[in-house]
Amino acid sequence: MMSSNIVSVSNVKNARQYLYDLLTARIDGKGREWIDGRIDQLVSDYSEKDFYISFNLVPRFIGKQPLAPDAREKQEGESLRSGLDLSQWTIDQVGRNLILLYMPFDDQGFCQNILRNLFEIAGVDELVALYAGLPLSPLGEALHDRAAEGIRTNMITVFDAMALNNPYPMDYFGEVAWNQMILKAFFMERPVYNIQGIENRHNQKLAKMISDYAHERWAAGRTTMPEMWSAIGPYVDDTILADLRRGLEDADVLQQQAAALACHNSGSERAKTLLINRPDLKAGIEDNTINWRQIGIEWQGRLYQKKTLYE
Amino acid sequence: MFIDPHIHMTSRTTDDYEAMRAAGIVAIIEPAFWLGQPRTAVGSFKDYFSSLVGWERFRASQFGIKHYCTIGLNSKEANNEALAEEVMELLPLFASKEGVVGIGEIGYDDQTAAEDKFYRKQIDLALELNLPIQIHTPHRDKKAGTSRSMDVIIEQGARPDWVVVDHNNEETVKEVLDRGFWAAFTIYPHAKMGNERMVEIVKQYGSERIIVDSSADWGISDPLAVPKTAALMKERGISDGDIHKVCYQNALEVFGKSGQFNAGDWEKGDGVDQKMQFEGNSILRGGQTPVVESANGNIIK
Repeated sequence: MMSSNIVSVSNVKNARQYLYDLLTARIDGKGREWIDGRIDQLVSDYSEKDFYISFNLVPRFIGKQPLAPDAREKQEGESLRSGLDLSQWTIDQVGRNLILLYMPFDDQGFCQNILRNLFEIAGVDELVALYAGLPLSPLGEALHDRAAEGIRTNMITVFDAMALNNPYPMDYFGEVAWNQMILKAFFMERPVYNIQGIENRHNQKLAKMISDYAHERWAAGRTTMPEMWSAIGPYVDDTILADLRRGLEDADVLQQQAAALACHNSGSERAKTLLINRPDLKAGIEDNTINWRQIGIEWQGRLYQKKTLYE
Repeated sequence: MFIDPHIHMTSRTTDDYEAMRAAGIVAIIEPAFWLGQPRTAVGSFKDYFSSLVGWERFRASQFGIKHYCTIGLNSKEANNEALAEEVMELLPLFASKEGVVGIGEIGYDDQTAAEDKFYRKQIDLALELNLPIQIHTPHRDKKAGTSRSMDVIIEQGARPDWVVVDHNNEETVKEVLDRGFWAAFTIYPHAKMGNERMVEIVKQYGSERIIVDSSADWGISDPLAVPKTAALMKERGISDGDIHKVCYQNALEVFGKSGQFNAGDWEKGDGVDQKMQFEGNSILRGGQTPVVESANGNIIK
């Protein structure tokens, strides 16, 4: 299989097979009988109502345990569709997306109607399955507006399904939707190191939005999420330079590390000179003990602790 | 630990959710109801049902409470027949979803022919989908309406032990229990039941197939009715075992028949909930002693 960033109508069969194998390796005979029966029915006599109800019933028959794909399965996913990452999926998501791949894709208008209805009547976990599965859909870019709707939600798990560990936004979002997604991820304090392409799809508007947001937080006496500076790219103007200096002088080591990493990665000479007095941070960046993933994980750990204390 | 198997959270605030959690409520069931005024288009029903399985479920999860629902066309709105037919088309698409633990709340309001028609159709749907039924009994002509609700259940071929008859009082309870149905009591200030009366009912009838709920909604109602009633029962000498049955176990047993309502959901949390931001592990595990404990604060008249 050639790695590609889309599942085309011609290789939808490979996508079905991939999900079917993932699923059947993890369910008992009864679950398998059920899914085989539903697939047979969808292939032989496609009815919209049967389709919706099959989609609804998936967790009853095949359960909801974490998928936990092994290395070989991950590799197969990557060959099927670049960036495909099912590491956070549960098996009901696999089952629901398998059923989705039996839509009659030669009639795009019909499929779009079914999907619209499906999204409109979906429950929380169904939305998670639908958004996480978008990179597997042969409708690809035609689902852009639907995907952008996924990042407007305030349901955290649903937002995560669209934004995190998902190649769809990186591949298809225009600048407006992309920037909104990044800002919203900061706003919701999500682990943004799991956003595919966050360090590559930088743009000047986004850098300014991030700086503005930081100033708004500081004015309100709030801290900023250190990972915010991972998305500024090379756009270090006077304002952002001052922001980064502020980060380096922050009492919190994590803020210092984030500002230093942003200075270093920006390629800006002025930003790099800020690091002259901080050989410790520079060394950490060079030997990769300071990186966005580590900063993100530490920050999320603190959020979790805060919540636990609150309880 | 308490379950409130009848509460309309879409009308309630986050203060309520916090207080409910603090009082030990771990799971709730939100029956589909009307909005205080009749809807005029099927899309309003669709969005309402989808909010029950979507936003409201998420909102509850932020407070460490597991939210379930029953799906149905309520009796008042059954009287707009053309619209009701359209709603009937929608129901199977929602009723077959995860976390939908029954068909409800259905039954009679004015006991019109249209109400009767859609009540029967929805009993058939519950049978088709193998789901329990949650019955709203009428405010007016209550005693006869309650009897009739049960007659029709039997006529349609449903089993009494899969059916919760709600909004009972001293006048209706005996027949409901004698016929093998579950009898739910709504502790709702100034209307339905007060909880001192509830204590007397449990003293008289015991805890078999009796369920306490709040039916809290957009009216003057109390989302802590279940834990307050539990505290009052304890104060007045009802055993812990009986309290546990009427404020937790019985609801779990009857709605558990759906296969969609399992104590494991809130005791451990499932795989997906692990990813929730306000996962609330510490709420779900232990430390569930009710905090409502003031001497007179527990009485709802």
